[in-house]
Amino acid sequence: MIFSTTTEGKETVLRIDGELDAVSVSDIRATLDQIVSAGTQSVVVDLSHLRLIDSSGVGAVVSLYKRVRATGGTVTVRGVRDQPLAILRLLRLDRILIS
Amino acid sequence: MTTTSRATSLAVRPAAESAPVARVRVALTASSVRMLGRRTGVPHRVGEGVLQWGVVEGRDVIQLEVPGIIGYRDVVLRTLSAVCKLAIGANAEKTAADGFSAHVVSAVGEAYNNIALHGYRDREPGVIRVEMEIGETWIRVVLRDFGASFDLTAVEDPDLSTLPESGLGVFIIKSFVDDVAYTPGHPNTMTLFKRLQASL
Repeated sequence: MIFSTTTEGKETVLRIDGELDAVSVSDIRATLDQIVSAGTQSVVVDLSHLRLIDSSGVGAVVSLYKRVRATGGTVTVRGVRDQPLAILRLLRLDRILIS
Repeated sequence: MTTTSRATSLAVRPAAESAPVARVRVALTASSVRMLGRRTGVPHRVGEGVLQWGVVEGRDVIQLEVPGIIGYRDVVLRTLSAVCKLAIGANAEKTAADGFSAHVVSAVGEAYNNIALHGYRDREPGVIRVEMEIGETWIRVVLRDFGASFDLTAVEDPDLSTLPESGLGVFIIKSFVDDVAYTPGHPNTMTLFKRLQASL
């Protein structure tokens, strides 16, 4: 997994490439915590190049969503397709997260 | 989709007793294993996996045996993805190819997680044996492990309206394949079955 964050104005874009799963999820937790603690009001999670996600990865994204929402902010996912899209649809997260 | 805990009728010999037509060894480096141990908090030991393709009791199967640690998950799923392509091959017009592979890989990935992260928790990790068999219109994947057992039928579906952050693995497995059978024992055996046309 490779990930990066960029901030433009009040919007932070978190791009996650590769696999977000039980193996890699621990690598991104500190970055997710940082986004939340910074009080970011608009987070866009770019999954255009995410190849695979599992329940551990979904848990991390949902946790981010809940915590940002709790501070009045928004989290949207863009670019998701293939296996990750199938997972989000199954868990009914597409209607909540996908802009 | 049906979920059962009945004993499977499969009776596959251990990998070492079959007669493979092709056999390769797969292994993580020692440094990768140490890194995974630090990241997951679970001690990892160096080991290697064996991938073989052969005839087991008259059936063409692909078998993969790996150390029961999370680091070998990707090896299993990439192999499975290739097997899914073989399954789709002659049936490309009859199936939604991307959906089929995504569903099978997702289900097996969650089953693998359950073994590596829960079944072998607090004990020396044993092996995970994965057997993949394809028919004209289906794929069967069998996972065997020697870790702690669980009761598949006792796992309730999550309440998705509460946006759960965990407890989704078994739900994903049940949802993405047509049949799941789990037999606790030594080894524990989980059999996942999916038809190609189910993705239409």
